[in-house]
Amino acid sequence: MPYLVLAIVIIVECRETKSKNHIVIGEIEMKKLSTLKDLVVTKVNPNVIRIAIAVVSLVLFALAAGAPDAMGGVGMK
Amino acid sequence: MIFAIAANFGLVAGIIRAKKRSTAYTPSVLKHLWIVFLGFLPQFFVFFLPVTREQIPNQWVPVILIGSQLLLLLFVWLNRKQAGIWLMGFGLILNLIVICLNNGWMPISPETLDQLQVSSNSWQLWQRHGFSKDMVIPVSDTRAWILSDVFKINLFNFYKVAFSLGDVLVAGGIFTFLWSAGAPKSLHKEYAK
Repeated sequence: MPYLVLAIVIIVECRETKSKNHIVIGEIEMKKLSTLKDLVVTKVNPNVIRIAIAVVSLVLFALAAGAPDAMGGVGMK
Repeated sequence: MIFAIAANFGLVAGIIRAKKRSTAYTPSVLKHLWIVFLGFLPQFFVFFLPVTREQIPNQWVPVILIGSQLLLLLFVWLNRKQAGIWLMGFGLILNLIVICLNNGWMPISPETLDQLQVSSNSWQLWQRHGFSKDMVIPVSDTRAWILSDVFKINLFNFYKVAFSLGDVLVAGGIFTFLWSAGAPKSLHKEYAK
């Protein structure tokens, strides 16, 4: 479930950066070698990575700090 | 599951908040994240990975659990100015207190297990409950009982979980952190103060 929400966030954020990507793709048509690097960099929005890292870290923190006993899950023999 | 709910609600509420104000959803940068991974790693081997958790003796569990939670406490201290982190830290301290007072285990009472309709064949008094952090201890012998796994969720016998007040605060901290990421930038500075 958290991964589903994360996927939605990534899709929303990628849509927002679509216009940036178009500029870069346009530059590729102009055969500028440097734009290849730009394309790789702009394809993944740094903010998405930041959100993903924050969520993963918080979940790991919660798993280690919290102590819920899930019956029938990991807690059972 | 309560952590997953808190993370999902926090994320969704924060994004809606950001969209309403036409600002970017930007979570604060957490410092020294490696401490979280370092703190989680021993617990991964002790509680989650089937191959290793069967090999590790129960006597080691309290030491590993408390050591790993102390590392998390250090992480909380280093990031104490971030929104929600202090709440997560408070929850962690409450869990740490009850675990330390009960010889390194989170107590769970037979009554709680009964109320969750857990088969009595699967647990014994004064024994670890499965591969969890919990030890089955009678209420009368539990120190700081109110901080132990006293809250229960039983979703149609499909998902059963017992959790503590500390867990609730940790979940609240996660929600607050993710929700505050949708605040205007001026408020980000306020949160960081």
